[in-house]
Amino acid sequence: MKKSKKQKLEADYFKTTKHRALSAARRLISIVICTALIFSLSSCWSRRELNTLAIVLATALDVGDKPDTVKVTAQIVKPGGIKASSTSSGGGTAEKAFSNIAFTDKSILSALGGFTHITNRRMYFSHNKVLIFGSELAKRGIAEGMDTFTRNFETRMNVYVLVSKDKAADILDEEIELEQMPANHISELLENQGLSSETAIVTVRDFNIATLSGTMAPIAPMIELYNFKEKKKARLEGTAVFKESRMIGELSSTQTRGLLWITNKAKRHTITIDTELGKIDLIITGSKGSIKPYRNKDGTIGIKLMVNAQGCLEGNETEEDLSTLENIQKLSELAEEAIRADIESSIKQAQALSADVFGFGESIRRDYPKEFEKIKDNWDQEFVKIKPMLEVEVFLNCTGGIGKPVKEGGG
Amino acid sequence: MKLENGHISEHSLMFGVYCFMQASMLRTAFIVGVTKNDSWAMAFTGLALALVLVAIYAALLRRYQQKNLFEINELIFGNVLGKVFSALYLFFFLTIAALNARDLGNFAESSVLPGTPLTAFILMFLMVCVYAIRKGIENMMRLATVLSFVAAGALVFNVVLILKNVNIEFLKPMFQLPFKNYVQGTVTVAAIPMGEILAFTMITPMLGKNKKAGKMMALGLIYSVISLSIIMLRDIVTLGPLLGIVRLPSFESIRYISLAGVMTRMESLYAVILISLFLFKTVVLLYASVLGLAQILNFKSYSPLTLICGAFVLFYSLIVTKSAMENEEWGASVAPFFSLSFELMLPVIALATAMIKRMLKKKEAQQ
Amino acid sequence: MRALEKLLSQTKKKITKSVVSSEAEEINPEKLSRCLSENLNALVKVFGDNCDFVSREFNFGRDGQYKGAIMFFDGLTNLKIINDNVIKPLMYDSRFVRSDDTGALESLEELRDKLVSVGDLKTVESISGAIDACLSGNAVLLVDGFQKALDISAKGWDKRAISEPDTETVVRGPREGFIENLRTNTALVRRKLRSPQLKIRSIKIGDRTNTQVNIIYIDGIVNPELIAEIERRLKNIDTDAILSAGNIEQFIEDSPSSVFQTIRYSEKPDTIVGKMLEGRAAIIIDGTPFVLSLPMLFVENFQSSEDYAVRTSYATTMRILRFIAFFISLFGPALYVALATYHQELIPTSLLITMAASSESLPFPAALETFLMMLSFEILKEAGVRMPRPIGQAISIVGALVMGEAAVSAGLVGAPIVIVIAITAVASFAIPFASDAVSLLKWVLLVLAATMGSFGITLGALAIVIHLASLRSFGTEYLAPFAPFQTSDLKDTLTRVPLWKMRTRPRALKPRDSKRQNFKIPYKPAEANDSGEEDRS
Repeated sequence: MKKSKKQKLEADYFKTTKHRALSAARRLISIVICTALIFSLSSCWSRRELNTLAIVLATALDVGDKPDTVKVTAQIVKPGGIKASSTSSGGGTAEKAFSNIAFTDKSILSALGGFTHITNRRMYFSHNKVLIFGSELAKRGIAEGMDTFTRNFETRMNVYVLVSKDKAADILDEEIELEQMPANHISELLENQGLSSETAIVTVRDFNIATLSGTMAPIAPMIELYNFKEKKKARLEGTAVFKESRMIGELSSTQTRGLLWITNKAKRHTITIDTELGKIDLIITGSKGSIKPYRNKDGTIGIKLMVNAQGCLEGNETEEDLSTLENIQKLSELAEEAIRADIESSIKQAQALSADVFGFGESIRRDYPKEFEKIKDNWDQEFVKIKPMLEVEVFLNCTGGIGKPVKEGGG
Repeated sequence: MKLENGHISEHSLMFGVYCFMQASMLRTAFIVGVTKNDSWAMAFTGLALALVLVAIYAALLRRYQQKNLFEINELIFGNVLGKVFSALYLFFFLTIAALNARDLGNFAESSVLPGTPLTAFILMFLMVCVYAIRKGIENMMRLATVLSFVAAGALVFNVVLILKNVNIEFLKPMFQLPFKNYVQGTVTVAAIPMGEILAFTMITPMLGKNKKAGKMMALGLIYSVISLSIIMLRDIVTLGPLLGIVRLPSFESIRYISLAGVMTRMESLYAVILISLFLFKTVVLLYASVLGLAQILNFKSYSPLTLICGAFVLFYSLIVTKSAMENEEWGASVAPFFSLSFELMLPVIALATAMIKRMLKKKEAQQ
Repeated sequence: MRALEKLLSQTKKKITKSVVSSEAEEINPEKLSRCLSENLNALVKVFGDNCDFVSREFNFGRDGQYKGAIMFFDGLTNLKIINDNVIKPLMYDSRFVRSDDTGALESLEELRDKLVSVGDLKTVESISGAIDACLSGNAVLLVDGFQKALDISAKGWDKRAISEPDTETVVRGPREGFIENLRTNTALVRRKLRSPQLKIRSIKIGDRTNTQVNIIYIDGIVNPELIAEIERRLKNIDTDAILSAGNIEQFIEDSPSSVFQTIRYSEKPDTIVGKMLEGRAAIIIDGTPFVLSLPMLFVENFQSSEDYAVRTSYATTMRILRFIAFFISLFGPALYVALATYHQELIPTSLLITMAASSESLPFPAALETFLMMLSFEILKEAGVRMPRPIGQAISIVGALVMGEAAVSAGLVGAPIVIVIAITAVASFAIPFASDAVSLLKWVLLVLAATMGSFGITLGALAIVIHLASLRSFGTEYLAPFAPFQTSDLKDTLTRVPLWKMRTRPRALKPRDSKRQNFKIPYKPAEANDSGEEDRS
């Protein structure tokens, strides 16, 4: 009785093991086939080895030599150069860590395609940090460039946009000392602008947002080459103003500052005040700017600009003790005056260009959409007519490490 | 020892609905095109409509305890007509499964690995889906809780990181669009991601007691609506007018994160979570189809059909739309009506028939 | 019952094998004979060819009127016990039995009760019982005229001393480890758990090895269904040899084809007792220092007995670190390959440039490079484990030099991949329990990464998670408390909350008594403490 049960159990056991072994074999075979298929079908589709890539760090777009062409210059990393310069530190004859290549064709994308004729590596734009337009091209129109660099999935929208005063390609050839690549130099240059707040930092995203609003005039910082000890170096200077994708004018550094005060982008800035007794330096450590549309009694819309800044007394050439409340109050007023002057000058310039760089139109659209509908179509004329109210307030809350000035017999 | 067979907890169902809904994050582009910077509110108005749908499903499930949608169909309409109804639902489930697989393929093709054919992505993806169903849907449902926490955590993480780059002003002007747009937005939200939870009616019998199914589905919907509106708010305040032109707003807004040069390129994290959520959603839909097909064909076990259904969805997803543009166009215009006819019309007919039948029975009994 | 049956059939086999003569049929293998010589013959025929088998005949009683024989295996028994406590009382002391006593032995039990001074004594009535007793290290005393024999426990073989286990070293916490001797091991457990509720059940497995396997658990905590299931599975084992804990493990685990182990092992009594107190059962196998504990949860891969001995904050940090190590060792090479061949946009620019510089003149694609380095590392690891220890060290030095230095400076592989492989290797040493599974799965992920980049890795990872969620260990979901999600069980997973906060045992194990303790805060002033006690009562 027991035996038979056991035998039956054993038979079952063998049956199931046999079945299991079979299904396991089948499964194994199917797995092998699938793996082989995946291997053979998928490998190398979008594979790109590191040493087959030309990593682009900066791109410059210029007007081509032939009519209706565009010249694309790309700065690519030369990994060999990086190695050489890092091992032979200080060696003056070190190989450059980058190489600039250019191609001219009818459109940007066809020029990019053209790079395949002159370089064996695949151009790789994911790490592109800087996009520079030559001013000639900027005046002709940059819509194509912006669209291409926004549409492509490889590029990012936090690429910095700049406009060069001359040929953009020349900027990429600047002779630099601290950095290994001009692209890094330029992008880090921009990132440090918060310390002076005299240059607008504009990314592709910012530019596109301004363009898409319809009424706002996009801006981009300008860069130029200058000679220093017989070396060509790049520096940031002023801002280019665009309208309908064309560069129509410039803002000076002061005017840019005014723009940044209003648009809440100014961070730190040093204001130097000339008094009869000597110069006084105030550092603005933080500021908050806002554009507030309001409705007049007659139903028209006005603009109120408010800037609220905090700062420190950081330099004192005079022999006066400026740390008294009375003096601080006076200084604040002087600083307010200086900021007001910046803003007024930038509004004047913008209205001269009839370009709404501040986004007055946008702020009206957001707060008074119905009223805006009426003036939307002839916004350019409306913008020129706007006389914004200005409210600037500066609050000085420290005097640096010392209170009284360093002067003879002061202690 | 009793090794539990296919039992899930109520919370699993709730989080399952949450995960299912979160998988539709990519589809926000449909709504954003219609209601622009007010899209975040559509999540709430859509919820109101979707709760009606859930109430209908709950009513059906309450009437027929321990039965899934396809069994309920046969109980209400009888063997033949019931199977016809079931076949319609089957078509619907397969279609949205295919659409989802296609969505994932498009996403992977455009932003994860450009240059690799769509088929490869969908094939691999569906292989994992089939594996998951073979291993048991209850395991997938149990994973939902953790997956929800991960997805919600990643969302919070992303939102915190992007705060530096947002501009609240982009939300203005609020509610200035034509009323028609809001209606369209609401219907779209309710029909496309929310109504698709109809697929869960194939899983609810696993709860053991169907009474709470409706409540849990509604709760899951509410949580996911909060997430959905946070996502849309984030996209609106980061992208502003760009929202209208980018193809994948959620993806693009995360791409912009850059904190100290280190906390950057977060979209990879997003992609991983998105693929996981897509997997969850497709598994639920595929399971609904497979189980439904097995019931229509009177199979004892659904597992032999899994691979077949998977293969079918693969080919279906390749032909369901021709391109991403067409998919978007379809999603914005036809899809809501297509979906609503299955999500609203058929269940309402079923419910009405059931009620009438019951009334007739009562009358008979009284006589 | 079944074990006995098996034993009988086996004895039969042995007898028919060893006895060639026709006398074999006359002996009744079931029963002992009344005649001593017949019994002796029967036993000698079974064990006769063994030089370590001792059979000593002697006379005893006041007048030496009784004939007896003691049989045992030399080496398995303690000769001192046999000499002093069995032979001496019988041969020497029995002469001084009082004169009014006739000296007649009524039964064998009389010997047991009056003369043989050994603690563990049994009577056996069959030859097979006597054989079994001899084989398990006992001495068998046969007396002429009785159909019974005495099974005298005189086990005494050489065993390893209790020492600190190599596999699980701890800084704080007990150092002792299990050894190869079953009774010592059960004693180690019992010493830690002085509770009448500690139960030890015995089963013999293996037709040839007759290995003693003990199920050990705490009655009242453990789920009785679990014990029934373990017993059922153990009894189902039909094999001829059990040589290690791993053998048992493979026979009873739920999913033998999975790369993840679903039964935890440990060499440390404190670990095993801890597991038992959580509601698990343990299986101790004679001849191996590894004790199995089950059911096993996935998180147990990341737990160490030391976690409970150190401070909460540190233990939690270590837990998280182990999880990170798990992810690094699993995904490290795959992520490197995916990033270096598909997703260069995800690498920070400056790092990418450095990587590009180092891969400038490399002969192999990144995937192949990683494959080769992983392969050589695995070989190195295996060689280091298998080689005798002094050579093993030499191997690691040579390997490290060749792999780390020469290969990079010769330009065969890039420096980044060496770093990646090294980190992966170090990380896998931080999670000894999961490292087996990880070392297999990382190859799969590498292939996926090489073909489909991060998409492949993501799908691979998802498949692994689904697989983990589908695993069961004796009715417990392997991925508990994550899936199904159980908030109260999370206390001992990614974090290790203070011990006094662990008020309940893991729910996932379905313990019969889930309350572990009722302690509110670690320290309270005296009055407050009193009120707390009132609350409790």
